[in-house]
Amino acid sequence: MPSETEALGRRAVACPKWRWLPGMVARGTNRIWGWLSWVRVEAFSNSETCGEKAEQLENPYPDLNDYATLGCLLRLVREAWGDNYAWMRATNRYYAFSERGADCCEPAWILHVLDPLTQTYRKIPGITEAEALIAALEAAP
Amino acid sequence: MTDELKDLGRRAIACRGWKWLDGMLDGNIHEQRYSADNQGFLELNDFDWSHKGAYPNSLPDFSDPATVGCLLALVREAMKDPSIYARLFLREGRWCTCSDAYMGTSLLVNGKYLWGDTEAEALVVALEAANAL
Repeated sequence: MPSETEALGRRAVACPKWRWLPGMVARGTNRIWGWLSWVRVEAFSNSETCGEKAEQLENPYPDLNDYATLGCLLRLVREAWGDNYAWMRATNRYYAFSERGADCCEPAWILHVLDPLTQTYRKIPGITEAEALIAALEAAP
Repeated sequence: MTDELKDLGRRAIACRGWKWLDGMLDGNIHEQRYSADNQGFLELNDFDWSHKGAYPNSLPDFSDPATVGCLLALVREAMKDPSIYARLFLREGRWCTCSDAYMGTSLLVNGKYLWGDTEAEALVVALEAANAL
């Protein structure tokens, strides 16, 4: 059974607006040896795209515990919504959530993004920062 | 990398809370990304794998979203506050580093609001403010 982080990562990869960006960490199975592995994605001299680098692993998914990957995911969300200023904030429940642990399901992070269709701000919640980002990527118009 | 970005990079690495993180892009000379090897030592991709650790003339490239993600992590660590984030205030047209510890309002450190013209600058200002903590 995949871990929560892996399940979230796979949701990200399944989004139509998903693509691998330089600096992301891809996790997956080594195609030759069959063991779990990871790679930091980078395009090399235009001869290999980031996607091709990630696909060196079987069924790659982004490592959402990696700060650089989260930064790239925020960039993807901004691109997907056409809002370069979309931002993520912790809610006032953040600290309560931290103290109560993982069994708490109250959203602790909210992504604020301008909806290009309605020109109003949408607030997309998530229990973790990564989950709110992925929910935003999934909901992108 | 523009001169403004280089200046911002220099300000960042002068901070007490600065360190190179796995995934940051060096935009000064090498234009390569730091990655951790199997033992966790940083090395520059495709440059010189025998050299471990950051080069003294490296400068972070804050036009790179992965590097900005790492910078945010550094600010959270330096301020010991994992709820820190940066956002744009439309009326001011500027970015501010904020924290939920202060009910989502602008973060005050030693009486200062942590404003910047860009997201990265607001975070660097926060890292500089963390020097005094």
